[in-house]
Amino acid sequence: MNAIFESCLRIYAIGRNTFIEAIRQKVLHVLVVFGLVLILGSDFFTQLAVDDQVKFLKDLGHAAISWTGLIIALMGAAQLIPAEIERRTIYTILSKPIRPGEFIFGKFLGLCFLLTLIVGIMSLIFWGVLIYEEHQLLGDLVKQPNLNDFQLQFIDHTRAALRDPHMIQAIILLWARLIVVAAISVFLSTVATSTTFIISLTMLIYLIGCMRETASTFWSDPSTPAPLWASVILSVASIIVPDFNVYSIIDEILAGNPVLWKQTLNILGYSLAYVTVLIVSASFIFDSREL
Amino acid sequence: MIRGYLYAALIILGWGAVKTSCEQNIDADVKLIKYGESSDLIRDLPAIPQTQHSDKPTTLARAVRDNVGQSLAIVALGGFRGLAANFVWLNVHQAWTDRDWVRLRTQAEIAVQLQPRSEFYWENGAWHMAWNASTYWERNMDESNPSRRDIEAHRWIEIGRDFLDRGIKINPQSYTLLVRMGDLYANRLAEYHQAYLWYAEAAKRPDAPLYVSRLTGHWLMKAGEYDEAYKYFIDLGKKAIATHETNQTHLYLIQKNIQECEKQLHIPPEKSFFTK
Repeated sequence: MNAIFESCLRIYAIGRNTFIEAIRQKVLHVLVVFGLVLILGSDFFTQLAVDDQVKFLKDLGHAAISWTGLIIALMGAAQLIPAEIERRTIYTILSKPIRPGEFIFGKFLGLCFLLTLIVGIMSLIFWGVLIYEEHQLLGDLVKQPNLNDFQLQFIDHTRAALRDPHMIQAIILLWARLIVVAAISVFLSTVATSTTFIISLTMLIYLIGCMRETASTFWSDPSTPAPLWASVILSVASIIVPDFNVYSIIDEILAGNPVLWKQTLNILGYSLAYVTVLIVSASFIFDSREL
Repeated sequence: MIRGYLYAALIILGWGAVKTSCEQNIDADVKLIKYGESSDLIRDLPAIPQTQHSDKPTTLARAVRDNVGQSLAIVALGGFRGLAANFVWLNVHQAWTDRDWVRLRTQAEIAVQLQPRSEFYWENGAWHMAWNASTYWERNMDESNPSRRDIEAHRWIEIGRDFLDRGIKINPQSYTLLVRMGDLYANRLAEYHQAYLWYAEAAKRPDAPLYVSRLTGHWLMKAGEYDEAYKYFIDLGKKAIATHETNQTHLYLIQKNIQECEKQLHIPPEKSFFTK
């Protein structure tokens, strides 16, 4: 029991150091600023949307958080181990009584802290933008006396869309998607040494994961029967690659369609299982690797 | 060294075998949320006549491949369907400004395929087709033959109606789409009894505003069915009193409609609902 507790402490110590190291990086600050500009700018872009401004704003804000988070997850995770090897700091760490598995878990935990912080900050800013948008859209209208049925309906509809509590589910799922991407990147970084290769391959896996269902639908169409090679690729992809299409319900939440917490928790459970499998596998590979 | 890779491969393959059923369960939930469910609400909907314009929906993959650019396809298929749908909708708006109705229809079809559960695209797409495109053809003096103008205008109303009908089948819980279908029958086809049927269905939805229930009776009056309208408004009034409705405008308008029905039905003042 004591050994497990000590192991957890070591993982936490590595995670904390990884987190502190990451937030000191200037490139991270630039990316966060870029994300914030995108979120704040989304209000400007809604001017393009002549009809449904609220949906446009919510989709743009979600995309800004996702893209920034995705870049940080990809770059951060891909550099975690190759950078330690390149700087030779890994030898100092592993010469201490730390198991390679603890090192991988700790590194990944630090990255999770970082992604949680970034998604949290950007979500808060996005929330501020939504409040501002509500003020812009309804500020003058709510002050008017004797509103008619249609005006009251517009106010209710706009408020419901902007203050939708289901948005929390969207943010949690967005975070889970980033964590899975980071886990893939960490896994690949135990196999490969080139950061560019790891980033490219993770991105490719992400896209395959997103398009898997679409490809299945396309090839299951009787007018376009799947060739043998396509069936083989699809089967392999369905075993190895995560189904990123499950996170597409984020779009539905943003569009105002109710999603049950049970469904959100199912996806979170799936993400957690995937992350565990990837990190445990990465630990085995790292353990047997000759540094 | 090989042992670590072997263990990792075994874990991943083992998980791969287990996760398929897990993914199938989640996928079923996701599809339900994205494409709606076959609900009892659909069974009760009024029928619309089948026309040659009734489209068979194509798969998203095919629609995207055929109709959108590569970059937008990557955005759409890369997990940002909502965002892609927004940008496709900008094309719909542009096509409306250009009065390019065929492009408008194609782009609206893509938007609804990207986000079939977004009422907004169905509602506004149908409005563009059944109102804007149709009115354009009614008034299009470049076409010298008035019969051809009428045929083309009517064709666009049917296209809009079929489009809206598909939207309702995917979003049967939406009172907005049902109201729009009622509006289409009343204002574009002058079929007031059909408008009443669609409004009556909309009024059953729990979030439908009060005016929907009033307009339901109004369409009966427009259809000349004053007997039915009279009974309907009396029931509506009783229901409003029973539920302690506080909206004075609603109560006043029900009263006015009852009086109008009594006038049309030549009910003497002593037999008036208000006297009784």
